[in-house]
Amino acid sequence: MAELRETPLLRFAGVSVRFGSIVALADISFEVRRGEILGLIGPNGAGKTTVFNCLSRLCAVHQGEIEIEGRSLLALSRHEVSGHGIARTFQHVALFDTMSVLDNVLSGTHTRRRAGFLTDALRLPAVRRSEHAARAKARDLLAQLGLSELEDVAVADLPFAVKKRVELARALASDPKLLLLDEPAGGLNHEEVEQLGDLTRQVRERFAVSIIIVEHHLNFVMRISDRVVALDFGKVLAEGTPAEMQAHPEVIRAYLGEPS
Amino acid sequence: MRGAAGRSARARLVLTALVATAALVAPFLLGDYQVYQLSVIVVYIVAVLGFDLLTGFTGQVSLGQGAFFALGAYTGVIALTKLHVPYAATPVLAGAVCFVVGTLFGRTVARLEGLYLALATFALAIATPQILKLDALDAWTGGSQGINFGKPASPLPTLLNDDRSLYFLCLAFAFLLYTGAWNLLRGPTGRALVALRDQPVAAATVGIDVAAYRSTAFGVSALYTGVAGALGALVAGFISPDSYTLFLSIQILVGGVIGGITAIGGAIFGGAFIEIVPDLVSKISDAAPWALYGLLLIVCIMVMPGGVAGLARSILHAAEKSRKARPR
Ligand SMILES: Nc1ncnc2c1ncn2[C@@H]1O[C@H](COP(=O)(O)OP(=O)(O)OP(=O)(O)O)[C@@H](O)[C@H]1O
Ligand SMILES: [Mg+2]
Repeated sequence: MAELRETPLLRFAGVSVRFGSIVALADISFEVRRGEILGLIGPNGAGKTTVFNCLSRLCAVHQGEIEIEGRSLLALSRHEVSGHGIARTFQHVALFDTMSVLDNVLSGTHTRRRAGFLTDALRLPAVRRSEHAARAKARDLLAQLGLSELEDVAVADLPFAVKKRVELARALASDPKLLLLDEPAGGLNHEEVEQLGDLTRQVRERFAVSIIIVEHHLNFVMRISDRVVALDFGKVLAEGTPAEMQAHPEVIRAYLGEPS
Repeated sequence: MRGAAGRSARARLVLTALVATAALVAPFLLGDYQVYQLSVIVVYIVAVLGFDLLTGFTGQVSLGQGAFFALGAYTGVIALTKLHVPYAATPVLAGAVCFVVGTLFGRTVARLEGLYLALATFALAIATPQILKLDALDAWTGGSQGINFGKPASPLPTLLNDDRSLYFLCLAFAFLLYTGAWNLLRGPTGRALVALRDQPVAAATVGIDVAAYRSTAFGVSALYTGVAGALGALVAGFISPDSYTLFLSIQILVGGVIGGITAIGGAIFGGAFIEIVPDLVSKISDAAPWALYGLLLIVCIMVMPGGVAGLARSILHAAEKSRKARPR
């Protein structure tokens, strides 16, 4: 009997990205399975953020194919990606600065709603209902992430670490299947990084999402990931479970061997 | 926090009630010329609303609103004089035509940002009066003479004279468009517009079709401006190309900035500023009214960087803070 292999949630197949003469990604292939947390590690400039930018359709892919649930992601435009269940946070935070925390999270629901200029201008009952539901959902998310107190605060006034958390709430508001977290531990102290680990796992259970997490805190990644992909100079250096990775000679040479 | 939101909502309600009462009562206390001026203010309020939607909320700088104002005016008057459309319906037609043209223009310039977009819209503004004077269009536009059709007569002469009836027509359109803008901006569409202004890349990743929203916002802004143009033409009783120069576009921009481009309530001040201040300064100084106007502008911008609306907002904010600081 032929083995029925479950289609992976996400598949990178031989993806290359160049910026002028810089090769940011060179023939990258890997998969993300449903419900898994995949750690993506690598030194500065290895191409981790570029992987995310490919998924958000923010950069041109020169070669290869990316599939989300077996369908070509490269056929989508930027704004269609979230409709296919991919949501992200940004390494340097990209919130809507003039909006409140609540409005930022509400913006995250955009892709799950039908907004029209005319229906909104008339504020039809359907608009009112969907706005009401979106608010309830956004408030619930804020509560789960411990941000309720900050609902009305302008995001521009928040510290970096809190902004990162608001971005997480905004990403979750779109009911993603795949969550991309780019250095979520930025601005956190040691203890808070520990808590973030627990939170990330909770998020995976509660929202039934797969997660790709990019982080420089190696212990953190090894602790929470099911599998880890290590990039170096745009290539996949190694791939495996955290235990395998910690024993991998290349990885040891590239990171773990270095005195910290 | 809830309490503060409730209080500011109440303050807004009181303010709205005051403005509405004044708008309904004032024409009966004023002479015909002043009622005419009041109508012009309302027309400019609508135009400034259109500017705020585009430049304030969507972040697309436009120096070409005068072009859509002219397009609205000419569409309205041609519909009135050639097609015999009832005059009260001509702003609707003008708005529709401007919406289509504005959306198409917005789509063409969707990739342009900041100064480049400003330049493209500047081109519109600078070209418009000359296009309106073209011989080829003479049969429709009346060339450099324009069209003198006379103010439409009041449908209820016993109740309202012509100027007052036109004023209430303007007020009805302004009310509808203001309410529409208010609803739009507090719903998902308004959020999408502000999102793509603040952070277009992140806006796209939450599912906002940035180019489509930008061009539709352009269309909606043109609709507002076009309705204003058609109303302005009715109120004046004539149109001519020289009323729609680049200076009109700049005045709409000034009204927007003075009122505060990111709060639609500011449009009320902006509209009033456009109509009243040039008159006022020329009464004060014969020799150099525009120097005085310029000085006033600079002072306004220095004193209220967020426009009148921004000032009002920060006063409310300060009041809220001192209330909290007070011991109970
Ligand atoms: N938009 C861009 N234009 C030109 N070069 C780029 C662009 N984005 C990324 N690069 C280059 O591509 C390479 C990979 O960058 P990327 O941001 O993906 O690295 P990273 O692994 O996320 O690094 P870090 O850990 O510092 O965030 C780098 O050499 C970077 O300079
Ligand atoms: Mg990076």
